[in-house]
Amino acid sequence: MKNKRNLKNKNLKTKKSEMKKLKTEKLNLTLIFLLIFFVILFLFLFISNLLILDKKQIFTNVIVSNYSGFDLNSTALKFGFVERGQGAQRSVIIKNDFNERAKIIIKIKGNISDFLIVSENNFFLEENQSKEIDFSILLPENLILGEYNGVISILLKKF
Amino acid sequence: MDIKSFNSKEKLINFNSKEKLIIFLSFLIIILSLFNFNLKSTGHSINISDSAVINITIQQRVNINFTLDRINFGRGSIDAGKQNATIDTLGNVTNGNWSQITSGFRIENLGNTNITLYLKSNKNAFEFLGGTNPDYEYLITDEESGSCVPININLSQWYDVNTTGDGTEICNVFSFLEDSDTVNIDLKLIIPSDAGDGSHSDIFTATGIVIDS
Repeated sequence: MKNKRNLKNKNLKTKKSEMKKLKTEKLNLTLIFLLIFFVILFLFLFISNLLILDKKQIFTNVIVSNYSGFDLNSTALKFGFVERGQGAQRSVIIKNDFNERAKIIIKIKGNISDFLIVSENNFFLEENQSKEIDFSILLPENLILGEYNGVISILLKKF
Repeated sequence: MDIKSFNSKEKLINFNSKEKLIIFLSFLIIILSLFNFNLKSTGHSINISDSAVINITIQQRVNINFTLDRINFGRGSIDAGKQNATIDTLGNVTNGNWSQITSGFRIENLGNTNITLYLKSNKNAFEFLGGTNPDYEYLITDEESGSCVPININLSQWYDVNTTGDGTEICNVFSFLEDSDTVNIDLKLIIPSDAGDGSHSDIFTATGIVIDS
């Protein structure tokens, strides 16, 4: 009877030990997976950053009003006063001064981004090549009167 | 039993040196990744060279579009026996039953430089109205005295719309000064009796270009 109980206890201990081992292995696997994932993420972001040769940011805004107005500014892309349901266009010239072919990526952030459209994006420029890019806004009829702002980021990337 | 199970859990948390290394590396990589992401999102990119390689020039011009839907003459018809009807944004309606419209477009120079102002339409009178001898004209006036200095046109005089290029230079100098920086654009339509039925619309484009000082 005692032997039987001892055997049962031994079996239970072995089972517990196996379960513990299994759990440890699972944990190890998860940690290794996480490690690989973050190594890849780190490398991706690091290389991605390294490929950015230059970045320029332009402030942009439009004032939704009941009449129209020009606001020509050389440091910001201001559309002035524009009426609801109407549109406006401005343009910028982008020049690649890098000594080889590069990719231009344009990103728009802010509450103006819902109705600001760029004529071309993700395009290549040869060395010393420049291109005029149009930025257009078309205001919806139901837009609330007021000021809408944003930042246009122009990135020059290798490749 | 409870104590034993607690002890077994405790043992699980006690990692061996290999596991500790993996955890340490994972956290290190996570921190580096987040730091790297932050670098990217805040715009402090790592440049290969110190000198700027991208050159941005903001063009000193802006186009503002006005759809004629904004000036809604509404429904109307030409009086019986008349060859045409005339409607404008000064409140005149002749030989027709359109509703009176008393305001056209208003443009202000909000900036701090004088600009040259051009006006063009997408359609000419025939394209816009159709029929025999239609007319489609604009009139420029100062809302604030001294706002517009024209060369090619006279203020307060009707002119046919222009569909070519940037259109007609309506103000050689459109002033930015606080009390003289607003102009009005009014429109006149002569609608022939044989003009097509239905809704007609067009887009006006006002272009402002900074005057080089």
